[in-house]
Amino acid sequence: MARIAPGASYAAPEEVSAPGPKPPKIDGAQMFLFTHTRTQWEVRAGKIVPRLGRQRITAGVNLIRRVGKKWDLSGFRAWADERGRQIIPWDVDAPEFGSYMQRVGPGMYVDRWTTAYSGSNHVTFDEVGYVDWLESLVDRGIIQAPELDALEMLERDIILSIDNAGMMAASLPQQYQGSRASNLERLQRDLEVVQAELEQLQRSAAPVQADYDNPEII
Amino acid sequence: MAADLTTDFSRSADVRSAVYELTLADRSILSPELYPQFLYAGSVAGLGTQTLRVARYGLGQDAFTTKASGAATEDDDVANTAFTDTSVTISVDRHSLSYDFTSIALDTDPVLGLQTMYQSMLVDAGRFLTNAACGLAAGWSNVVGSTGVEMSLSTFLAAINKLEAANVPGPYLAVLHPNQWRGIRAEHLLSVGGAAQFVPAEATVSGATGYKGKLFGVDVFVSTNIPLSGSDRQGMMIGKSAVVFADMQPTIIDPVRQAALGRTKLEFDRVPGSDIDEVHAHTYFGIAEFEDARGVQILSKN
Repeated sequence: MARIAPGASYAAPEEVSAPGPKPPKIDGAQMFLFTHTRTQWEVRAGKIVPRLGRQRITAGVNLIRRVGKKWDLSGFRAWADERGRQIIPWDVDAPEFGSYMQRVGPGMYVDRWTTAYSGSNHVTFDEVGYVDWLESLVDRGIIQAPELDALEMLERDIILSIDNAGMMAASLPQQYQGSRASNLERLQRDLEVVQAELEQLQRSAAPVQADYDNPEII
Repeated sequence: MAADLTTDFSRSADVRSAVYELTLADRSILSPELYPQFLYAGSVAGLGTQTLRVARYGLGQDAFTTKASGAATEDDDVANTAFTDTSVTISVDRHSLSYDFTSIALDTDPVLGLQTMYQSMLVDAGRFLTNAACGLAAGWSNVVGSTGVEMSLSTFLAAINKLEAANVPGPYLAVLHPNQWRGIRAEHLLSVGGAAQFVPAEATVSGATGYKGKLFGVDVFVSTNIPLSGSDRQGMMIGKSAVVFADMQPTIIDPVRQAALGRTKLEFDRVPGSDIDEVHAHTYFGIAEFEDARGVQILSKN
């Protein structure tokens, strides 16, 4: 069976012996909400996009409650606000797109750019579609564009990754380097993207005017 | 407020098929009582509430003020330093599992039995808590690794560096997806990056609990409950008191039909007309991030 349509639920066959679609077998794919913290950004497909966290929706975790058949997220919302963590609601897009989360089997949820397959734990992912959506979150003003400090932190993290990955690749015999060499090239391309954006931001950034009192001297 | 995981296995064929399939389930059990990364806030039994508020003061982080001798400030009164309390609230909820089966299903099966069911449900209660803890991995604000890039020793080291740079007290504990651990083990086999200090767990322990051993002093667990994010997995490394949890020890009302072990209660019931035995398990806990800076998300290709 191909993709299970968003919103469709898996129906167990009447008889054990009857042939029918099996649900996917994906571990670690519970119901979730995307979250974002101001300083979290990443480079995907050559573009700087928000790096989203995932809050798993489980009763008893981070103040998430189950009331009857509904979820009470009020405690979690307050908890996330206190930590500067922005919640991206399920209905952030126009109604025709539906939720960014889709159910693909009993207790199994993936984002709408992930395709699950019948009876399989393998998934495929539409990276370009996901990146377009992340960009749209910024364009629509749902997530604020990255500030200088966030991009500098991203630049530093990529430089550290390049240093570490380079060290590891250098200590591996050529025949064992495999994907590590291409990882290194990818990170270097990511760094160029971030540095180009940083240069632009630094030019336009207004200096912060701070109140300053010189200390008294005897 | 229960998260019901009711499974209807009343017919013998269903029971057998489910039992044999479960032999391939993730068996990782992270007993939070054993690790200082999980701060036990206590039990809500008898408290009159199912939520607990855990105070978090910035003790040990305030600076002294120097008062110069012989100067006008020598006898100055020292100003009071106010405590900042950033409390964390956690709620304890019920999580349940139930099996219904006929006498034919139970008595003709070579594996099943009440004792086996009870043991299995206790294991499942532990696994459910592990699952909840794994769910926290995708929430930490600090992230190391990159999307689409294989997990490596260097990413593991970056996580240690991140925690150390934030003054997070040890010991550290990492929970990774097996596909993430694969990348580290491959490099370790090739002795990459000098002397990688690895103390492997015994194979029996590793298979039964998901504990892989100590790498650079960090306890490493693997679990397939680690969240999937597109084509990536989001593991984590946490320091002391990064996560807080609370529970409740249930009371036994009817000792003939009920038993309790710690935070988990087991009980059975009978539907005579249908010849069905029902076995129920309830476990009571709540878990939350205690302090965001004490954890780091480890992102890598699935």
